[in-house]
Amino acid sequence: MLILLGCLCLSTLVQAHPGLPATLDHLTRMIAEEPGNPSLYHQRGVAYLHDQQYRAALSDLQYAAELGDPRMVALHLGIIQLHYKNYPMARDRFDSYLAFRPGNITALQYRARLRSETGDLEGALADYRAVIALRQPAHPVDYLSAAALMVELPAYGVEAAIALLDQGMAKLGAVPQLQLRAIELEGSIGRYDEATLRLQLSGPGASSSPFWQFEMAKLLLAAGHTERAQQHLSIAGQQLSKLRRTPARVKLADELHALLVRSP
Amino acid sequence: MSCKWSCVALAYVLLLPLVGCSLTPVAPPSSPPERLFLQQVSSSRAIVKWRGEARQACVAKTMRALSRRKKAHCVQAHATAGDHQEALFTDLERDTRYFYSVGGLTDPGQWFQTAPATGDAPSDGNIRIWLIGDSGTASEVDPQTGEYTHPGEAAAVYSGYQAFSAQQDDEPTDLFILLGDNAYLEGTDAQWQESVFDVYPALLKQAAVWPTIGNHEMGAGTFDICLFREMPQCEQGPFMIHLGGTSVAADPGDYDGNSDGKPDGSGMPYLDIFSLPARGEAGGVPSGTEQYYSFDYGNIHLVSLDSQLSARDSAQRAAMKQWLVTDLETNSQDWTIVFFHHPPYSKGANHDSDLTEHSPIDRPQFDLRTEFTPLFDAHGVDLVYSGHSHSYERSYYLRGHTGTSDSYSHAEHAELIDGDPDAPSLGQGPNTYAQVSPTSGDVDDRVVYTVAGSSGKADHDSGMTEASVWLRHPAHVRQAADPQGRNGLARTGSVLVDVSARQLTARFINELGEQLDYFTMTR
Repeated sequence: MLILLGCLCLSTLVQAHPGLPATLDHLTRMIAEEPGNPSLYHQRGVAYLHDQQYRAALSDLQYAAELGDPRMVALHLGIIQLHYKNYPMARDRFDSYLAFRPGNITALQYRARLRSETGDLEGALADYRAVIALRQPAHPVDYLSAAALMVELPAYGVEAAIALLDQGMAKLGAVPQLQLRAIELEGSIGRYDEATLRLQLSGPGASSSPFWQFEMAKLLLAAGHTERAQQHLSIAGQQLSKLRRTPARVKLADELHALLVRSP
Repeated sequence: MSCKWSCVALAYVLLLPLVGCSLTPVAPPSSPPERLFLQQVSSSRAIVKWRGEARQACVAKTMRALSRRKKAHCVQAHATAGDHQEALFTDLERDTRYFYSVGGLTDPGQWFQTAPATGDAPSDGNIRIWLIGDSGTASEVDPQTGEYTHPGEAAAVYSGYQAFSAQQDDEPTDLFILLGDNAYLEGTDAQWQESVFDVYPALLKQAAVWPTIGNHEMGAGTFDICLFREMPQCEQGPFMIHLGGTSVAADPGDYDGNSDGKPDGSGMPYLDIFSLPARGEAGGVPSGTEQYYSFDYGNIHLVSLDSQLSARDSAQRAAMKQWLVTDLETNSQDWTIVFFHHPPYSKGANHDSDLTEHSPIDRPQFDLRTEFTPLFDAHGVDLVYSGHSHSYERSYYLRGHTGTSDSYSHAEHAELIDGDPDAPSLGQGPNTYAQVSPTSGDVDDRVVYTVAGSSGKADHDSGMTEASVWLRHPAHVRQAADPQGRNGLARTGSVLVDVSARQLTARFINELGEQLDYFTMTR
């Protein structure tokens, strides 16, 4: 019945996505008419939250929790408490919501962020790993988040982070979101040969790009292979001369020139 | 020849003219697929995808060879999500027409043309692209009356395109691009059937379809109907409904197709229906997700971004941007076209791009404008297509415009004729747009943005957009065909893009097959 009524005049409704001020005004009028309805306070609280009006959002959501089922608003209350860095309270809300809706990816991500901010990196990593296991289809960003934590954790470290990124690439392909981070991490521990190897493996057509040649040159220079680096810089220059000029290519040409000047 | 085989052959010869399809002598044909379409057609590979009992597909260069299975190349299909079957053909010859059969059933209309070699224009000199946005009205029903709200409008737009194409040269469509909101209201599998597979069946058999995710592909979100409509029921309090197209979730696992306010648990039908090149299978840099991807077709590089899901989460958005930069850095094609659902610039009904920074549902319009349009400028993107607003709006040849419409000026952001700040170029007649603009210091840094969201219905009023600014975004070209001379058209229609080695022409074609706008870009 609710859905049926809700679908009245659907052709108009589906086109009508209101701006935030209109939403807040309307909800405020509705609350004046029906002050005991928790759903109204929940809606307005979320609207305030979207507008980053945290105090107003907190007030509405807390009242909604008093009036109705507190688990329904626990996620949004947790987000606000996290904003205010009220970590124990935020943690309690996220735990409550996850008990209510187990495996909710949004709640897991927020709890991971909370755990990260409070130094519980192991816990944060566990949450991100849960996201990796749960999210279908998999997404590169989950591996990036987990790898960032591994770098910080002595029990894991850079090599474990790289291994996780490789797991992601085994599943998703050698995507640049993960490979570029892996290259960066290889470089951070001085493994420039591994970094250059990764760059070489970053796709069949990649070496036709002057941007790729430039990155390769930078890695080789860092590894002390000046002569090879010069070759790549030379190739990059030749490639750039054949391509139409774009702002990005003009900028690259400037950087190329600067690097050549620094490492003649 | 044994009696058995000669009888089969005789039956085949006699029946063929009658039934219009051929029967293979080795296996009885399957019943026709419920849906049949092409995916990832590139210069060397193609996917034939369908739903039905068939488990094998074959290709050959002629219908005759296809009927003689010895000269056909056949592969077993494998099952994919959503009860689909798909057959992958590899090692195909470039720029070549292949006929195909599914489950032994052939049809003269079942053929595809592989892409030219990467970087090359096709042998016929032209690549034809058809783009439709917000076309999914064939499944939109008024619940009170049970009647379709826009009966036949999507089909009429298709007919208009066919009529225009027939008048021109009747060249086949090479690429069929969906700009999102192609199956109202929740993007369920049944709605995809009704709005896409039942509306464009002949085209889907011949041209690979390349989609992007719109808000209606992501099912329902929670809404109070009383925010929009005064009804007696609203006096009792809010009427919370779960309305298609209003989800603000960033995870496809949150898809709610049955509007019960909870995730269905089955994921997005969009991701089940389409097989998209997340691993760079058709050229381009692998994205690792079917939510956004790129591909090459001849001398064109095309990118589909995800403005509905990935754009809503800052970490996902950053990852998509990083991928896009790498992809565009690697690209050296003659032309580059990007498409996604939420338009960076629009004064369409309900989707005024100036009011999106604080709009939960339309926030992607703001983020795409502020974060992605600078990348398009920097990396030589030529055309950007979106939908969402149910109208046609087309920009001048822009660069550097990331603000709201009040910050726009012809002098700063548009290509000008003879430097006259009151004469922005329309890209028509003698004033074609040069890809490497002489007024930009011989740098390719300009883009034409088009909103093409009226392929299933057109807005009849301004809705939530202030009436005085409806279709009046100053960065958009004033449309001669609009009775009020506004910068857009509230007409149903679609976009046709013809691309050759040196020239590109984009047209807006209405449901009657009339060209209402066009521009040309040269290189």
